[in-house]
Amino acid sequence: MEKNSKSKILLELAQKYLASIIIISYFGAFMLMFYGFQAYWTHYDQTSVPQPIAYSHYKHVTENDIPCDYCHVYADKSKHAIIPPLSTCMDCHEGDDSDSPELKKLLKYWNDKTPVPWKQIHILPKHVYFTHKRHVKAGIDCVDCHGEVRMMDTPRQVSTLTMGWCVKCHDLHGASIDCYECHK
Amino acid sequence: MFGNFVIPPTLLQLSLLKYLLIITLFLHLSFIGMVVSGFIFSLLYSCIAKARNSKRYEWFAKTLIDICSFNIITSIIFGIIPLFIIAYLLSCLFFETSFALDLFLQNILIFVILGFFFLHIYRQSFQIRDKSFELHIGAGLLGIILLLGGYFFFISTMNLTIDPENWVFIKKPHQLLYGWSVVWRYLEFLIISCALTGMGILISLFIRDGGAKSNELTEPYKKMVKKFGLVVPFVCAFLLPVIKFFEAVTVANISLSVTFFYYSYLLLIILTIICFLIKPMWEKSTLKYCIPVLVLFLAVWLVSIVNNHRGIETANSEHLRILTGKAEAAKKDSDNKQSKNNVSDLEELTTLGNY
Repeated sequence: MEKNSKSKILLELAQKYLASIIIISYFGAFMLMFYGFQAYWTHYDQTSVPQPIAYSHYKHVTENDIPCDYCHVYADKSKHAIIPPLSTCMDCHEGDDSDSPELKKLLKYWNDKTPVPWKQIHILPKHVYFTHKRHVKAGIDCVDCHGEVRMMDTPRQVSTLTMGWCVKCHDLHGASIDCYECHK
Repeated sequence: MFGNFVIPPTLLQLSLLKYLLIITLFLHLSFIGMVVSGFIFSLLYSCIAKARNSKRYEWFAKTLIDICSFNIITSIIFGIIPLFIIAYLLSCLFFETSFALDLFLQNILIFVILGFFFLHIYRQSFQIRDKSFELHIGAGLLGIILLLGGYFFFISTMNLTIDPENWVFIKKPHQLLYGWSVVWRYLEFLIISCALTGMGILISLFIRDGGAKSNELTEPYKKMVKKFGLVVPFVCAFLLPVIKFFEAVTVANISLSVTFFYYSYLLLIILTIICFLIKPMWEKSTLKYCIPVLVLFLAVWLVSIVNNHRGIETANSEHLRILTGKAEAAKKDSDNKQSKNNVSDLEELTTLGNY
């Protein structure tokens, strides 16, 4: 009898507050969905990636007038533009006794004879063949794909680098859109 | 597009641009939203009235036009002039970029002007509705299609501001339908507009002037209007999270930031409060929360616009930095010139004094 009356009370309460329960559940579910998407984006899709040294392109390129190809020397010569070796950094920073913590990190890597474990930002799938040399020689500027890197304190990916984006650009410039060009 | 009229913005202008753009978008889109959705519902009820031969639906269609349409001066101030202001603000913000602002004003302006013109004919032709229903509905339909088309271009262009990688490719009007994010944003605009209209009708008939207008109405008609005014915003509040979620998933990745998600949570909280305010109005046949619900829907709109602007800042952070640099350099030049002028004036005075 007691059990029946308890369940009756519960049922009455549920009926009374059913609409409120539905509203809270509905919006709560969407909060969770947004949170899930935020977590996914934070871990997999963020445009900028934390680097071992907080290298600022703005300081080096804009304030100190260092051109892109001073460091990324193979952009017009090879598939890969390359990240410069430590010796390129030490051209300017050898004997630099500034208090900058980032510079201290750089000098530590140099003294330990360990390359800086930079994290790659622009990653193409393995089945895509892309060569910097062909694009640079065709007159494509660095900013066309990488954005205004000279203004970035933290480097980030500004173009989606999807196939559709590449094909549209090829179409615009009259370049080949044959499958074999990029999927050798 | 504004050519020589757009100067690189100064530092003060850059900070004012942001607030002016948000305020102009908020006022303009709220106004246009009410006009568009009011006329859509009016057309719908007008057709239903004709099909069912119902006077009640005909009165409601007329009521919707009377409440949601405005005189020519108001239409120009809130409808046409803001388009020029927004175009100018975007010209300043995207100074020296490949952002195709020409697509914006050229395509929208003619649609909006013609749209208002045909909706004016629809409104005026209500008296001759019985004699010439086709003219009446045709004018309304054409007006709505033109406004909807024009504001599709508008929403698409605003979406383009947070998608810089597509600027190079989008040079013609038909290219503005370039992704699902445009569709979801457009639906968001329509849904919020419908919600504002629903609440606007209730406030206009039952709350304003102590509900004087409602005294002339019959009970079945009042019931129908209340049902419309409560159901439409409630359904809109339920649909908005779906739209916002798909918008978040399809929007340009470069415009996303942690702040975007915080604004989205805020939006969901506001929508929950709206539903909890509409629920007792429905259950107890009271309308005391109409004004708070309208204010909250406007807040939803404002949060959405501010969130979009945050997206603009995130997606174009490097370009904005270039503009700030140019503004700072221009200020430095101007200060140097000023001090040089002061020094040469002082030297002249000293020379004259000596002489």
